[in-house]
Amino acid sequence: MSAYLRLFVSTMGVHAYNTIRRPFYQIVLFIQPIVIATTVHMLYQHEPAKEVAGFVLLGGGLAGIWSAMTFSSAGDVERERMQGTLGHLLAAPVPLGFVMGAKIVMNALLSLLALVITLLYSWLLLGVPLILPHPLAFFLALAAFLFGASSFALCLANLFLLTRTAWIFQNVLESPLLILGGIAFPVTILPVWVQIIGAGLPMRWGSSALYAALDATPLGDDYWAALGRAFGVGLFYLVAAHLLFGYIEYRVRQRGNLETL
Amino acid sequence: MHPTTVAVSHLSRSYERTSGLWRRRRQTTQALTDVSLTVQQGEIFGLIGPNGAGKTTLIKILTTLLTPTSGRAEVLGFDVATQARQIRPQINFIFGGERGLYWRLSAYDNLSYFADLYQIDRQVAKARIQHYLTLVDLWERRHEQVEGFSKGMKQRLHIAKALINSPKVLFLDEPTLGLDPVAARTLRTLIRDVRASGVTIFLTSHYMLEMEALCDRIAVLKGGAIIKLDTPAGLKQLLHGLDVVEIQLPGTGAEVELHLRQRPEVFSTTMTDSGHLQTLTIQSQDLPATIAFLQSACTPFDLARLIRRPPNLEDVYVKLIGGGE
Repeated sequence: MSAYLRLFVSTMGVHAYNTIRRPFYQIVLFIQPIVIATTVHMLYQHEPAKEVAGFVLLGGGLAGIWSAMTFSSAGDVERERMQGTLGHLLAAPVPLGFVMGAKIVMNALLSLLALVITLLYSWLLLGVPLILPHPLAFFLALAAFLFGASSFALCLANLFLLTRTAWIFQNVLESPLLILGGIAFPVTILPVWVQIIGAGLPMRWGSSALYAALDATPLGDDYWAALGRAFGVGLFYLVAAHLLFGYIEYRVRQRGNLETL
Repeated sequence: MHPTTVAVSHLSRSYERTSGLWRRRRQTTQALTDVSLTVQQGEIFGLIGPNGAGKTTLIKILTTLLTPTSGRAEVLGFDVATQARQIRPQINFIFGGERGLYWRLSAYDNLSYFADLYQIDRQVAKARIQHYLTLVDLWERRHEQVEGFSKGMKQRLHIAKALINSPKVLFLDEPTLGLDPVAARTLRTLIRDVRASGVTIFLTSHYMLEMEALCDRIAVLKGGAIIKLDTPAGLKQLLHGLDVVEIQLPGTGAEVELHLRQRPEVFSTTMTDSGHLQTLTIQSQDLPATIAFLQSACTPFDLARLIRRPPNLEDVYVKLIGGGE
């Protein structure tokens, strides 16, 4: 195993071990998807069965994933700062972005639990039919969603290195991005200018691809277009994060507030 | 001739802070001003000075966590501002206090993770973890979570962590902060052992006896500038012509100190108060005159606790810094 791969795996392991022991994260992961799924179920219970299945099954799960992602990008930077390890990560001979990337990937994997909990809760307790007409397309779209959300979270983590109030941004950004990303309900019912902003988010296209994959009709162009955009926009954010890290590290060393609490 | 490990030339660093919501006000604080020094391989180089003198700023620049505002600093021949990547694998550091570790992890897992961060081969890392945890007397408790460790154990783990990549230069910023005397002594022994293996050590501490015992050379920082740089013996030469006496007084220390400060031959006084007993340390240019005054101001019983001792680094610090911070 190469040294970089070993560090990536090791960071994911340490991060998972630390993360799942935090009570707040447990709420985000286990309780929030159930609350959202119940709320969305109440909102959509008089709608056609297809709508209910889509937004209850996915709405809760994807919201849980996104909450866990913002939690990772902001909260993890903040925690490293609080425990005095952020400076050690910056002064280590590997790029800080690489370590943050491993943490975010681990959070993405952990957040899948939110989706699983939503699916099981909705199916077993809310009676929402659990039907995957296009399982392969569904999992491909899920991968696109996770990739996009991870790339976007990596960009946020960059910016949060510059501020000591990252947790405020974490709270402020969570709900607007749930709406702009079309996670809680279709972005198409929102004003056009909001949709334009949402189009810049990889989660918006990932969630569209997921909803399209739940449609029982044969997969159409809308699925493939959304999938392509989800990967494309996600790639854009990944490259942006990579380019940003060099600049952010320079700014952090210049400003000298990396470990300021 | 030992090669130069750290070279600092005309280094300055300022911090800019802005305040105000609408009318942003910019405030500049000068942390370091025109600092120049060199440190040779295998040397223990000390930095002393009051809080806010710039010690930590200098260490953060040398450990590549900060960039200088002007001037130049090199570690192992590499520029800290532009060649941080080359420096980082070859150095390590400890900032005083208990932070800087993953408290939910065990001591072993902490070292294992930091070994991965420094991309050390797994087998080499395993051997080093065992060696250093044994060295800092934590091997038996290697599987315990760090959050249950005492302050001294955490500091010892910091030392093991800082050695995990076999650094050529080790920066220790107040490593014995808050430790009990036994733990501090253990750490001092460790620092000497590390130096014996050829590691260059950059050390800061407020404990002058510790600095005197450990350091080959010491720079005194005040207001961001080096006001004196010499060996401990050389620094003590600054007190040539001064005698140092200590007297313990039960409750009257403050009053006696007040009178002493008005006497022309008294260069400085410091007082440590341990409740009902105050210890006055007096630097005098005319010892007989000072003794004569003390004989008139104190009881014979108090005078029995008067001692004359050779000047130490703390006396030099008081002379250079001025007693208060």
